[in-house]
Amino acid sequence: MSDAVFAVEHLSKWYGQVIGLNDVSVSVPPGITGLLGPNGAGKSTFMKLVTGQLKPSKGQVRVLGEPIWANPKLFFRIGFCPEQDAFYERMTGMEWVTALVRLNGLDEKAAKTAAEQALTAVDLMEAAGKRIPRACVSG
Amino acid sequence: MSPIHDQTYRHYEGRRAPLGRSWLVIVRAGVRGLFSRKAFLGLLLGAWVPFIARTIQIYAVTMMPQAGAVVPIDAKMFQTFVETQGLFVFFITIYVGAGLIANDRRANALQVYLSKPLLRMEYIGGKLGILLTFLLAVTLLPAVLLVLMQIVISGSFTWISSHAFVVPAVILSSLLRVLIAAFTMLALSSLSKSARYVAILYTGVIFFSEAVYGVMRLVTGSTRVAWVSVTGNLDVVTDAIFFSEPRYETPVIVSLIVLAGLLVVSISILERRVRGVEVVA
Repeated sequence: MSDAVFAVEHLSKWYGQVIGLNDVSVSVPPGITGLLGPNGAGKSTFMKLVTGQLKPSKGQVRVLGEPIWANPKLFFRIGFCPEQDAFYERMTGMEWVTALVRLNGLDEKAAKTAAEQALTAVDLMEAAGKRIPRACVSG
Repeated sequence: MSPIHDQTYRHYEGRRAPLGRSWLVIVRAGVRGLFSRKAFLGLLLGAWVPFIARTIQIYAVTMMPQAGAVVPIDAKMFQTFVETQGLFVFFITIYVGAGLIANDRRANALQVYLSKPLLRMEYIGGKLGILLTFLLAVTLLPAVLLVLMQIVISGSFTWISSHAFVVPAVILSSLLRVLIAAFTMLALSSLSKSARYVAILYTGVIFFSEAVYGVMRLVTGSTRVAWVSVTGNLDVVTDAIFFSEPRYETPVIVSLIVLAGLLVVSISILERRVRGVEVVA
């Protein structure tokens, strides 16, 4: 499918002798798609493979028509939200979001503007100057 | 405020730095963060005290040449200066380097970093850049400035033309100490989530190898075994760089091989440990 957001073919992943994902082929079109499965089905492994966090043992993953593995250019076009919390307790929300935007190649001023827009969109501007409290994010 | 689902997503259409520049963002953020710590600024300033002392020495000998009999201005003085700065290299490496990767691992930030348009090499380069900035600021920079002070205070090129090798020697020996310290610390920092543990580990590597050398020297009665000590190897190579009398019987080539091995091991650890997802097979 040429308009697929991502497509995988015969994708498999082994962790040593343990199989994480076995011969999966799927094509995902634009829009919202949910991934459901019981514990141990390989959902996390699948997500890590299609976001380029893990190298496939076999098969291929193409995101927006390009292979994702070892292709950091693609991260200019896609976003990734890890399942674990990831932030520094010493940083404020604004500092952390700005720092992440800076890594996307925006200069300091543009990054701050983009961070403000993002935090405004999710109604977090009031808390933007406070340090990120771990309990609030996890709760 | 309207609900999020009502807001249309818009692609960023402004200017963006190309792939390969993100390491600079990491360096800038790291350097800026450390400059805001007063204790660290004190340590940096303290590291320049030997430079001031040596500048006074150069001035005194230039004004009163007879003082040169007691505190001569020669290649050995510059070698001693570089070695003295080794103490500050040790403290700054621990202060700056211990948490460089360990803190990212603790905050689960590695996965976030590596899901950005950022090469793994850029991430490591950025972290290395932070440490190198400060280490070079207390080694290479004052050492080269000291050579310049000698020229400026004496008002002639006579001394430097007869000691031309001092310039590459201070540069090489400073770079050697800084690179070994930076790569070793970065590799250790990638092994743990605790900066405190990494600091203890680094101190252990330096002092334990020195202690092992001390024991082996007592047993063998020879300084040929200095290759087991990190500082011993650095001293062996520094002696060779400055053409000074060797303090150890260890062949220079052996020390060079050990130091190169340390670099290779450090890079290999970084290659294995700096990954977005930790795979335990």
